[in-house]
Amino acid sequence: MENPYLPYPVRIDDIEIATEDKSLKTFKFVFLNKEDEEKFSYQAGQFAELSIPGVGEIPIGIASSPVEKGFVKFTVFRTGVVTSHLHNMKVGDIMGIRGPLGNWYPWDKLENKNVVIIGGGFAFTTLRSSIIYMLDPANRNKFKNIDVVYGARSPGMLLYREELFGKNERISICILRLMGPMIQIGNTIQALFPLLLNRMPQRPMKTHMPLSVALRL
Amino acid sequence: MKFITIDKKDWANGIEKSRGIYQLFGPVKDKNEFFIKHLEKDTLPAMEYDNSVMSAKSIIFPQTEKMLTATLDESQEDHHIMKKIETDDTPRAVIGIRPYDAKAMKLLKLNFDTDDYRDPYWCDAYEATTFVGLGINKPGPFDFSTSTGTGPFCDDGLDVLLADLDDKYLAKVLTDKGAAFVGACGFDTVADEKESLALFDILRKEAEKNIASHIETDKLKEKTVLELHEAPFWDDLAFSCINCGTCTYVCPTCWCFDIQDEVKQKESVRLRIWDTCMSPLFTRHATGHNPRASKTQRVRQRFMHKLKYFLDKYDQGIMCVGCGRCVKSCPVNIDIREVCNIMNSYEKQA
Ligand SMILES: Cc1cc2nc3c(=O)[nH]c(=O)nc-3n(C[C@H](O)[C@H](O)[C@H](O)COP(=O)(O)OP(=O)(O)OC[C@H]3O[C@@H](n4cnc5c(N)ncnc54)[C@H](O)[C@@H]3O)c2cc1C
Ligand code: SF4
Ligand code: SF4
Repeated sequence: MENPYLPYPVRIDDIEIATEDKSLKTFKFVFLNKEDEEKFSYQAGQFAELSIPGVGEIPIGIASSPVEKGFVKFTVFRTGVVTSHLHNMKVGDIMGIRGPLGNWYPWDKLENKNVVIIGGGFAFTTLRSSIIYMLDPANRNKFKNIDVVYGARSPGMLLYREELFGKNERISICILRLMGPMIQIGNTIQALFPLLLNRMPQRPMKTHMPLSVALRL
Repeated sequence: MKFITIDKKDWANGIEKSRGIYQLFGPVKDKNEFFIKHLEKDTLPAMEYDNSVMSAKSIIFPQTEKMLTATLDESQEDHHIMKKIETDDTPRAVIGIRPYDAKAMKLLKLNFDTDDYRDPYWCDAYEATTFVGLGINKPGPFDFSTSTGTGPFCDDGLDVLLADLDDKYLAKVLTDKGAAFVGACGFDTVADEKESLALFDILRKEAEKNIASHIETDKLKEKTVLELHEAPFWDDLAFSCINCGTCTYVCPTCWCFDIQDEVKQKESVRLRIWDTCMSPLFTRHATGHNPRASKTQRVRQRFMHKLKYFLDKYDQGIMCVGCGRCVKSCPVNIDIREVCNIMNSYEKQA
């Protein structure tokens, strides 16, 4: 068995600013050794340790999807020692990734069902992974309706907006004010929203989520 | 299994002889206390000790351990590529380890050697080690090992169990590893099996009579996590704790560690260092949010892990071998025996 602490060496292939305020960046990595990519075989929902020699390692959700080959992607919020260092790194720099780690969504149990994905803020990373996975032509017909409810502090803080919601002509996007009047799309979400609203705490929440996107994919 | 008699006159010579093959570790007196340490040449294990302040776990799981290294020098082709630091896994023997410490190693193994992951640092060190235990003729006041599935003459997890018979040791050789060690020492006076077994039995019964403290664990299994978690006694139990972490560092079954990087010039080293769930830093997130921010939450976590989560997860008893070190070392006298009995007897009020 291999040493589970030893990261696979990777090269930064691309860095994208992910939100308006530049606090989040999406890093695309390629494995230096092709066989490591196969060993790093993951499921949507898992995370990995991003490892910067001499700085430290941090657990980050895998934002790319198992159906995307040749690279892995992570979206990272700049907050402390390791994440700040990572934000200052350049395309071409070498670092490490170890994993995959943690659990994933029970894909077999979701087959032939309507799926509702609900996420907020930048916890949406592994949900990007899941959406890309489900929308893949090889998988799309395994699921019935796929509804997504996604909230962020402001429209500029929504991750992967262009990619997931912008280019898809079949879907309509609407920004919902959860506390105000709202537009509802799809039966599932219609059924779900009153439920969600009833459970919203009446006191101010620590994580504000005034804006949401709801769409059917 | 076989039995060997070792005349104490031959002891020092035999131990020295084994150094040809083994690195030796054992109890060493430091001021007024004993620690399990590397035995320098001509140092014999101090066999007349009661208990060591720290357990033997550091022989396999050092307090600070180098794991990986990488050069940060960009002129090197392999810069920023991490590699395993080679570890010394030549044969070693720990002599005079207390039986409950060997049992504790077996509990640690559940964490470091699983179907999914094998921790090579821990497992390679464990496999390289021969455990030569020393039965406890007169257990001390903090020993409650008979109620934790071990005891003063328990041989679970040992390769050899020694009984101190004043002028000689009687060795119960349990494994091939144990036989190899005894052979390397040149100890070969075979003792009668029936008589030896009977003698070990007498010694065990005598020793167990000295154990005055016991805990009750029989009802822990049937209680739900939630009822114990929400029980009203945690604030009181945690009240005096000062979060020093001593209880976790001295414990032979505590396995948590933190991973940190250090840089010297252009060389980076990744280390693992014992961590403690009693510190607020253990769980503090980058956002500042801390899911176990209060002392009560942390004290509860330690006891729930040892006495409930571990029991439920592995079905191998509690995560405590009754060595009593945490009881003895806690500066404010928090006592796992008391906590365990409170948990075991707790009935939720309807
Ligand atoms: C399973 C999981 C998935 C995550 N996914 C993402 C993601 O997709 N995108 C993202 O931006 N952030 C994610 N995080 C949070 C991210 O790991 C922390 O923001 C990051 O570790 C902060 O590191 P730092 O060195 O910059 O901060 P510092 O506060 O300087 O951290 C110091 C040390 O503490 C550790 N640490 C700090 N915060 C955490 C934490 N929340 N959990 C575990 N260890 C921590 C770090 O590893 C580091 O070694 C995830 C956390 C977990 C547990
Ligand atoms: S919890 Fe205390 S008594 Fe039990 S094994 Fe650990 S240190 Fe020994
Ligand atoms: S040794 Fe005692 S005071 Fe220190 S952290 Fe443990 S319980 Fe608290």
